[in-house]
Amino acid sequence: MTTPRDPDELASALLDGLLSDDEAAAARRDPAVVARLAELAAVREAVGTPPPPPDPASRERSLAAALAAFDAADGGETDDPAAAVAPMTRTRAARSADTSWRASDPGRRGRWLTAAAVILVVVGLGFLARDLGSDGDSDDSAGGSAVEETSNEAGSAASGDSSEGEDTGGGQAEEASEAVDLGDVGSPDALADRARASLPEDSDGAEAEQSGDDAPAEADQGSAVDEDFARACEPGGDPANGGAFAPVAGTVVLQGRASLDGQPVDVWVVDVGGAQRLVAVAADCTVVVDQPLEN
Amino acid sequence: MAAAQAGDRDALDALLRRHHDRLGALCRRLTGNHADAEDALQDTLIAIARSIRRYDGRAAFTTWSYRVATNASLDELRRRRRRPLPEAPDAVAVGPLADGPGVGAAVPSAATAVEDRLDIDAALARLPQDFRAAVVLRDLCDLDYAEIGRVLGIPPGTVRSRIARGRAQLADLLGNPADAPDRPSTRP
Repeated sequence: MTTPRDPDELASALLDGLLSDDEAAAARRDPAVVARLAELAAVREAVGTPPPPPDPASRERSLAAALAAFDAADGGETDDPAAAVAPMTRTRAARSADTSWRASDPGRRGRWLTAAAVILVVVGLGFLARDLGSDGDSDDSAGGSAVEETSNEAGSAASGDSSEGEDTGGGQAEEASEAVDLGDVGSPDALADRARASLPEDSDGAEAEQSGDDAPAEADQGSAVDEDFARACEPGGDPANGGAFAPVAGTVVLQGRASLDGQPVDVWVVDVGGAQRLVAVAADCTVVVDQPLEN
Repeated sequence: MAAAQAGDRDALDALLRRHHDRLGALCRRLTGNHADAEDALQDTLIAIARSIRRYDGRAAFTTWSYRVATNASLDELRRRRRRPLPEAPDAVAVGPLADGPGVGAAVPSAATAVEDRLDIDAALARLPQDFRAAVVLRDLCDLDYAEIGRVLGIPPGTVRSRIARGRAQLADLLGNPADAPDRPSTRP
């Protein structure tokens, strides 16, 4: 790690003991760095003071919900799409100020999640169809150890920097010819407008025929799906990678790509029982938009 | 850990209890408010419970669980951005603003300002997510730069830069609120 020159970086590095003795001595001779050091030390102390823990009732509810999920997984339900998408696909826009329902009513939560899972059916098709190219790592253990091996996914999850998030693999160039470029948008509603404008004229009612160059690729056409990507997005994928997808069946009427509020997303318009939904998924498999697409 | 992975429910219960407050603190600092933190924490615990059998120990459990919690919290923040903001009964103000200094009042020192924990939450809420996560993982969770890099999927040099810039912005926010950007989200 090179020696920082910016006073803030110098002070921060000094605070964390990253400088050599000589570097630290030099930094301490700079009044600007010394002054900044005191401020950053105060910040560190404040951030490092733990907030009060959740109240006992909330704690018990959360633990009970987690144990219930563990029991469900123990009962062979790990492939349940509803269970798989649980952490990522809640529909909570209409949630009331009382947020305790999630912990106190697992049954209700499960119903929401089941509905969400159905909606996500088609998203998996899109992912399977993506030819991102394999990196040769065929380990499909889907374990929790992908901390080292899928840093791109996690990085994009934690970053609003589009320049980082766009680096999602080598298959993007090839895919560009299939996916519609929906451009830069600042909100889901704006994305919906773009998607609506890009829909094929005969897309109402899920009648789109998936044939020819313009048709979205079907799931079984996906060859050479990137192993890490698939692992992160498959049901039961490592939650540390944001993985929680449920590839099932559905009708894709539009597949595209956009930058949503600076975040690169893959976009699908899917038909579920005659009603179209707009789904946008970030590079880390997180569903960032899932809403009806009204005509 | 091994017992929990083998399906021992009591062992998992004990494991989650042992890490509950630590993960809750991370969620709270990243989301900035109690309600979102509760949601993120519950997502975290459920995700861990579902995935514990697949955890293979290549990363320390603490680091792995921090990564789960970080992702859950950032997901929560993304969802929050798409939700309409209701009334904000527990709105908090950054540092000196919370104290309501009048015109010409002396600006409190950073050391004074940071004494108020609520102010820290509000100041953190003003940071870009990238910076916030790096600073919290370092100063609250005490992860080293390499561990933070693994949690966030970024190189250690980027970690260093984000921590430095995040801390600097926090210091400026707490010491010079008039120069601060937009007010933070005040969702309860």
